[in-house]
Amino acid sequence: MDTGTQAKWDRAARSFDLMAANGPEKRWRPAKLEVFSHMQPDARILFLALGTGLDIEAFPANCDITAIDISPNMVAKAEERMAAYTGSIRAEVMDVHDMSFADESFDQAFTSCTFCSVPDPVDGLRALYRVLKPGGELHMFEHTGSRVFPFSFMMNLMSPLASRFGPELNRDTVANVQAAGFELREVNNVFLDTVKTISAVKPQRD
Amino acid sequence: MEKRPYFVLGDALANIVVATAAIAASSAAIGGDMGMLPGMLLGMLLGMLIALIISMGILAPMLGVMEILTPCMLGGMFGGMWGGMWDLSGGEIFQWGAATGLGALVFVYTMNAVLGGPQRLDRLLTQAGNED
Repeated sequence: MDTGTQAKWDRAARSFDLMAANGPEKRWRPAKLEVFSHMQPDARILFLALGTGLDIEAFPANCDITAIDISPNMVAKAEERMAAYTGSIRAEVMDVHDMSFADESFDQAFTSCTFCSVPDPVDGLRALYRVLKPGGELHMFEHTGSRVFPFSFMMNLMSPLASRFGPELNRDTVANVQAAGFELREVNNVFLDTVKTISAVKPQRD
Repeated sequence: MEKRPYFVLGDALANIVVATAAIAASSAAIGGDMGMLPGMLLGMLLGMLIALIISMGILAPMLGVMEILTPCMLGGMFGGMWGGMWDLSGGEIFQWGAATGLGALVFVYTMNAVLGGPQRLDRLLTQAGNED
């Protein structure tokens, strides 16, 4: 368990809803609804990172979801939202780099603003690859760095400061998904090229 | 493209406020005293810092993170440059702030229209390969 990252997000849990529940969530809700619409009721679904459960309202009904988050404080704050969900959500405090799930346990994995904060994103995505079944789907809503000036310049300048309190702003998550072994299916820019949805699959065995 | 009135009006107001604050601060702190180039560079950094503080500390919870941070940082960057190069009066600060803030917002909305939507995977694969 990465205790430094855990402590950072435990601290952030206190003010997380104040920062994210109104403006950011309203901006991103339409795109998140589209991403989570891929959740299938008959699939075993892994969701990371749960945070305070703000995304739960956007989940389709009656799904079977296992959620993880590195922060116990975040998971505790998510309990009320989990209880209100019409399907099944089990939450565990777990580091994506060190997940205890068996290989090929899940049919689908979903992330929401996660791989801007995972300390080693390619390693974390490889861990997701391990727990997905062959043919399993990865659906992501992520903010990333930009490849376009002047946005790339600003993101690179701000990222060292932003990462002290929250996420990094200049990750190349599309390249990281590919580096972890996934096959890209769809990349959709939601805002500039810095907020995007990514769909990928774990290839079937030969 | 953002069309919800709450966010469009909020974006416009936020960008005017941030760019005006950046110009006012850099004009007061530097105001052309250092010469054109050093004043511009120092003002740019000061403007970006002010934009970061206002947009993340006050505006983001109401208006979103990336969507408010990006144009405000751009407006703050240019606003800081203007204030670093020139000693502006109160009325000029507001005029330049409004023009800079709205200009940055229009640029970001335009770029968003250009960059948004589904991406060609063959192009992304090539770009990712080139970075390895």
